[in-house]
Amino acid sequence: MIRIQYGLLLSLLFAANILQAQSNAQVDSSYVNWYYNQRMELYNQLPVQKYDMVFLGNSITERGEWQELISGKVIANRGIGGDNTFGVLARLDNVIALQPKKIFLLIGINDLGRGLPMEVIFENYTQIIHRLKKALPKTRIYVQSILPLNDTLLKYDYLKNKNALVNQLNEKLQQLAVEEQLVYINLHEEFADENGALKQAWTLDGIHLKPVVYTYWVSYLQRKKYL
Amino acid sequence: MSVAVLACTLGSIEMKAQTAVDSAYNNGYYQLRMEYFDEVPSRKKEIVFLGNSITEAGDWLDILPKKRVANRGISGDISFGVLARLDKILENKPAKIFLLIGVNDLKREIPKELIIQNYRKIVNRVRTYSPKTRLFLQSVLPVNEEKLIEPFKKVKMEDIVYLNEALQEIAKENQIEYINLWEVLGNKEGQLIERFTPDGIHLKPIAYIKWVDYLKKKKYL
Repeated sequence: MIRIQYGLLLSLLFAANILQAQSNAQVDSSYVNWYYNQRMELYNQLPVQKYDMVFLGNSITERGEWQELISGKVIANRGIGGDNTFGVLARLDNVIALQPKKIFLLIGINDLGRGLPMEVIFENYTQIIHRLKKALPKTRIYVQSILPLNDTLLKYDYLKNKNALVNQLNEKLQQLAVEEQLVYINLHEEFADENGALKQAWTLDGIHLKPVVYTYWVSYLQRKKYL
Repeated sequence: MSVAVLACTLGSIEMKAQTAVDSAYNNGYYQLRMEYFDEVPSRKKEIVFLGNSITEAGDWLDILPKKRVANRGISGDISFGVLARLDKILENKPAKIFLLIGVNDLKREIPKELIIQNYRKIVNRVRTYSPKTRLFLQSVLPVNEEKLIEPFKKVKMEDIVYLNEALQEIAKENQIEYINLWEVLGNKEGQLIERFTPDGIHLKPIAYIKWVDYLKKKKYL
């Protein structure tokens, strides 16, 4: 009897945990961590001045040495490793203060990695675009496709088999760009192999890019006359 | 028989010598960075920050968005690694080079005299191949002994001081600038300022703002 009750209690607890995990997964809107904080501490202390371009996103953006690859322009790198759409939304004021002529946005893979519902990510993305457009009506906003992953090289299971979701989200982003009259940059043209995965030679871990790949990225943007 | 023993002894001496001077620098990460540097479009009159992870982690490009800055830090690099890639850097005749190297050499217990010899080689090569480049020798940063993480425990403050004295001397001999970063990143006990470092050796992003301010104040930038 006691044993049965104990079992019941356990299964109830277990169910409660699952429910909580599910609701957490749906609304895990957290973005603040020590890394985010120390990046923001830096960004908030940099003198406010006008910029030609801002590269906005997560670690993939942060690791690019955009300023040295794109000469003669005043450029701000506003990538934060691990960031998601909630984190970008929360720091838009810092970006808006820079009054950039162009913004290159690339965000969303950490949202997908976390298992956030597509609607939530897309809603955040839409809000990001709306707020930027309202505050910076003259700024050209470039919506960059979320990069594909390479499952063979990925070390973390939570990121595996996400390319279908990446493509789904990208379709929505492309549609949003059309509706909002923004330029959509399909990075897959350059970064994906024939199976739609991130080119094996361009990454060590299936998600991040080798340093040299940023030179290819910038060349691509130049060829497309976006820079 | 005796030949075999002798060969064996020689072998072990050689092995010892190799472990004593671990000058290997060409690791996977070094190669990745070099592959990138090879593809970056070359620019004249750059301001180059040259060194290891402490340099690489600096947001120089963001802190100095209007200057033509190149970050040539490679995480884990040692004085041998800098020497090996110096010619590539000098090809573009940079306007300025801010050098900071040596703490990983100490971590690996490379003899100080060898490190100092490498400093001299670096200075000579810059002066020979790009005489108009202003080379700044930056002091090896102090560590924060209380916060220092295990892998760097072999780095001793007295050795850092010794290297810095040599750097100062080399700067004087060559009539170039020595930059004493302890003035801005060290506290009055001679430790790396606690709030600037997460692990006793590396710097938090905001520390680089102070560093750049200091270089500006000294009119080096």
